[in-house]
Amino acid sequence: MDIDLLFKIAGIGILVAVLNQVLTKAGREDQAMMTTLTGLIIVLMLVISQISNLFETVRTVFGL
Amino acid sequence: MEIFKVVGFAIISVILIVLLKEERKDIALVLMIVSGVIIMFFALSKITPIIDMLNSLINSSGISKDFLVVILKITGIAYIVEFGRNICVDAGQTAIATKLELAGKIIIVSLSLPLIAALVNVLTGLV
Repeated sequence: MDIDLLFKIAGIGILVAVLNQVLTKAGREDQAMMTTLTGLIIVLMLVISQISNLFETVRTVFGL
Repeated sequence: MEIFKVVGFAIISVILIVLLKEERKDIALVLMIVSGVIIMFFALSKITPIIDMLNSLINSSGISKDFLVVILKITGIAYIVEFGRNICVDAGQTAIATKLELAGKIIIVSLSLPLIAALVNVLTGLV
């Protein structure tokens, strides 16, 4: 029940949302899009390792 | 009891998802996937003693072991297909969810073919 991963991802999401607002208000839409993409990529990196762990565990438990 | 931890974890993740839903739908989706994965990890840790007990029961009862192997494989496939299907439904892609379910069913049926063959053999033997 490692809840810190959940808070990490939520934090990155909120940060990206705020940065997006700030950058769009400042008139730099392209940089806003860049920060959104980088935030999403960081979050995806975290998630992919978790999902591969889950699939590996299911493989060993059920003998797939 | 551990169930309180799981329920608390689920409620916290739902709150965070709703918080992020308007601004960043994609990160809310990723958050939903991660909370699903963590809860399934918890469920998986509870499954292993059940499987060990099943194994010992089957061994003592003398039924051939490959039936249980197939059943466990089918359960694992159903487990993962259900996981993927719910994520697709939550993300709004019901078409992909139904196709995933269809693929899961086909794989399960293809796995259970030897069982069906064994059953037919037993039946023909009786007649």
